[in-house]
Amino acid sequence: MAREINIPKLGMSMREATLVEWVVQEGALVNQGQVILIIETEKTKWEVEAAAAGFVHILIPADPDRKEPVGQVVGLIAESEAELKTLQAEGGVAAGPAKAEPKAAKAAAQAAPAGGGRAPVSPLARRLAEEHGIDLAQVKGTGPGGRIVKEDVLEAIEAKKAAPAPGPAPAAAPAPTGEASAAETIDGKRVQATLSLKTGMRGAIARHMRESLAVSAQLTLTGEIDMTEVKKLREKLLQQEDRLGTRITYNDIFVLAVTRALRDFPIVNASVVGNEIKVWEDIHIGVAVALEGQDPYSSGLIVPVIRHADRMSLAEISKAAKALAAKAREGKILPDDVTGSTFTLTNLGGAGGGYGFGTPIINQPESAILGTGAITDRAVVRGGEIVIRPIMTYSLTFDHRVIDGYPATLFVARLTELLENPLLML
Amino acid sequence: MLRVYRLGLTEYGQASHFQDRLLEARLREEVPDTLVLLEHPSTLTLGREDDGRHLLVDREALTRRGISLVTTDRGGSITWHGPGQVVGYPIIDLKHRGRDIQKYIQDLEEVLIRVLADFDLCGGRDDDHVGVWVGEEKIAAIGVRVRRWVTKHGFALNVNNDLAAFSLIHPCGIMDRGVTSTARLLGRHLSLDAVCDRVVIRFAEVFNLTLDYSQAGDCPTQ
Repeated sequence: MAREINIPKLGMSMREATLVEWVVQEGALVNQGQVILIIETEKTKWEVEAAAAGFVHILIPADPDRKEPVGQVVGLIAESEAELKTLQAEGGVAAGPAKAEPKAAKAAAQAAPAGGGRAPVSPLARRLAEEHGIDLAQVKGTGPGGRIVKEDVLEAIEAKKAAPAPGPAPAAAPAPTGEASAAETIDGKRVQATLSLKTGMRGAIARHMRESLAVSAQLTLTGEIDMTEVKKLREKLLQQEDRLGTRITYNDIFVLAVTRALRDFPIVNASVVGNEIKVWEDIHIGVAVALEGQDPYSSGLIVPVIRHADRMSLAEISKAAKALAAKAREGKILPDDVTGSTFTLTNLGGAGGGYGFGTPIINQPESAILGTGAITDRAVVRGGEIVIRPIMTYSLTFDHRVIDGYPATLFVARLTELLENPLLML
Repeated sequence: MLRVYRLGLTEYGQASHFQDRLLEARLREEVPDTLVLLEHPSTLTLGREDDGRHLLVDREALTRRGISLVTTDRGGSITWHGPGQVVGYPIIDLKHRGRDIQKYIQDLEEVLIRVLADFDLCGGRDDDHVGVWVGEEKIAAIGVRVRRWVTKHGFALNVNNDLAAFSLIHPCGIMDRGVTSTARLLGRHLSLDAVCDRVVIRFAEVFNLTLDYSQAGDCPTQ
């Protein structure tokens, strides 16, 4: 699976950078940690290193006059030559010089997409066309050999602007896919909005989820936990809000319980690294936070990390979680805040769907994820009698390469025990 | 902790190699954060290959004037260095400073603004252009390179230097603003040592580092 090369976020307010120079050629074999790209922001040149060994496929050529947004995928690292060839066939910069050539004289014809008979297109022109929804088949090329160059696409964009108004703007700031005309219809279905699956948050989530399912052997254990004691505990803690300095949430208590259970069953706090399983000493809990989008169809997801959660008191966990969630909502999250987790918690029940289970997807490279459901009053049997108790559902997805069914069951049994008898967490 | 090297007139390339060695040593945590202060002989440096377009005379003219032309790995585009200009190259590990490049740049600007204030000059920032300005004119340029969060290159403050060489270029690629120096603004020369003293003190202040006086500042020139 190809790894992305993105524009990194090098500071709280960083929004964009210039691609100064690809230091390696298209298709070059690089080692992990090798410098492959120089970007510039705020008069500072930064060396982007390869996150993994592999073959570099350039998607966006260097262009000192263009700014790319943080997070933009500018290239890929293919795991194998075969994968590299597949990527090259899909487009981007084909074999040729690493730097942008605005005149496109040197860009090879391999850059043309599947579908023969098309005029060759320079990589820069292709990217411009993609971003502005220009159909290259309609563009006349004025470059050498009838090649379509940047100027040709710019003209087509101007011509299009003179045409009727575009449709709704795409969501999520980085690199929107371009304007749809007001009446875009596909197979008789009218398009309300178009979002990019390659770039921005949606693209990142799409890739992460697909890769997670592809790489690990995931299955989900579900169950119920009686929250009577936790509810009582929480009510007492809410009364102590001023003394604690924070309002304890159910999620805070789950984080506490999970850290205790992970200490008892460390195999659940592990990652596959290469051909080995690394069982982590440290416990860093990722807490999934939903982000609302600017419009009804764009939402996002971010997983800030509470580092060394096992060393924290409940109040400390609570404060850390609130601070991270606030940062996330204000768009001030730093890359360090969302990396390095060893286990993730996701609250599936908050949105008001009632009693239910889910099959959350593991947050790679972790080996398990706990989804907690809504807490609803249910009829249960206690001491031969039917009583009403607040019941929470949970869904633990785990990676069977690392954790077998029995240890997974022991883990959730311990978790259940801790939450049903909270004093055991002390 | 901040270690300071005060070198004299140093060739650009030599200074760059010295910085590379310091940077690698800093990455291995063998040295603390370091500030190198020096002057360069008359040199035009290009940050980007196409910076040649900002050159207003041809290369023979430069050679005749004894001005070297060097391509550099720092950010920013074209600028000039020369005697009388205080050049500072902090080798700082930004991993310990929040991994924030913009903040680092702003801190460099802050150091220079405070130094200028020490000499009764009012320097400021410009929202659109990195560097330090007095009114509409640029008095200090900034260009940085970062490798694994350790910095090299840095800033150049016009003190007593000749500004004539700037008329050979569009400095930093900016075409509609001028450059100035403390000499031009104050009508007199300043002691470069005095200015460097203030740079060191203000740098330690802004970056919250204590000065390490243990090492003498000699450039291991090779």
